[in-house]
Amino acid sequence: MPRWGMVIDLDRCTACRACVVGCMQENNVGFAGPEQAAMGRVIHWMEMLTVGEGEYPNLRTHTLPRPCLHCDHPPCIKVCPVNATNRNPDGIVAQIHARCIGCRYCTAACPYTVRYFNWYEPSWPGEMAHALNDEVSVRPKGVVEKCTFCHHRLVRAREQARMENRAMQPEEYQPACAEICPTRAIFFGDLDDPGSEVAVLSRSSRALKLLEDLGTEPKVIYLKEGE
Amino acid sequence: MMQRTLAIFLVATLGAWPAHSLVFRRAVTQPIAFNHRLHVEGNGLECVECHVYVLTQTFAGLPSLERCLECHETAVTDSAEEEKIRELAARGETLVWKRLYEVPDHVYSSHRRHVVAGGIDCAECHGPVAATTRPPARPLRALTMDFCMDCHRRRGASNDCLACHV
Repeated sequence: MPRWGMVIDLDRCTACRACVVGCMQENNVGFAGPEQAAMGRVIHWMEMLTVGEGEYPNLRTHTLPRPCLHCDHPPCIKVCPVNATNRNPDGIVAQIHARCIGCRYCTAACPYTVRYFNWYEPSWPGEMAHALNDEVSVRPKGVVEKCTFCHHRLVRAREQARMENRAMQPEEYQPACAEICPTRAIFFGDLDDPGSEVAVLSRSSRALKLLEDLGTEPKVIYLKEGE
Repeated sequence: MMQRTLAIFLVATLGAWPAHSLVFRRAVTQPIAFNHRLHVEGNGLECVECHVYVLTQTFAGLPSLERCLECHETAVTDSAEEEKIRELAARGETLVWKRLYEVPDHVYSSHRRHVVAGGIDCAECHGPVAATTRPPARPLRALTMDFCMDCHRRRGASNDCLACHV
């Protein structure tokens, strides 16, 4: 079994937010609208976090594209009372919307704030409502959702390989954000294959795991910016 | 008071009824009283010849008017139902079949995967549709989650939530 993981090179990232838009498009994430946005209820499975640094006049802003980190020891699954979230055999932290009761324990437990509660029915302006991805279900109001590493793409790649009677190649499975990134800042692959690009990068001296001391073992690894 | 209690009880029990059970399902009437048996047994047609997307897509597809007209351009029998096809074509309308088997939006199920990769016969999930002489008003099999998971267990297919609920 591969252990799917992602490496995000912050030196290459220009904070253009193509990954954010690409993710919303791929995974049928609805638009919040101004009232909900004012209440902080916008949903972004892939979010561009900004971190301010320094004191005036020496200010600097860092940006950080942040999907779900698909931890190997996820705090969210320990608190879910209905097993709506679990770590599946591929190491992907699943979120089963039909099972979720909307208690938001996981949202509180996640140290990376990757989980979003649907406070409103999802909606899309005009023609966009007819352009949904039919491989991903539309989440109803009242459930929690988050990044799935575009699991449906893994399913699709596996199915294609089976049809052609061959083993699936790791490069056949790329989440939407990794695919769309114009500067190729997002690498995706099998962390357990020592020769794979993500595994090599994850061992680099610039590699950084967010809030590493919590022991969550995230499978999304950042490469620090050079000074 | 008694009536109110009864009403609440009825609403509570019926509300908890599994959505895909076959009881209380509204009967489906199709635009044409299609005879599956006649086509399959009588003329040796395969399911995939009219449900053309089974081997390539997640959905199976329902036969288009053009598909019917390939054989029924001129009268094959003296049936009034058959005449409807040509009447629709003459009016420039399309054939709108009503879906009988449907899984909810939060379930992902692919015909291609089950039929091509799994080698599963249509009747395993759809029941003996090929032997019916008129369109079934209700599904012949209830596609409940138990039904799917039992089969997955028997065949050693994945029962991981994410396999079907994306």
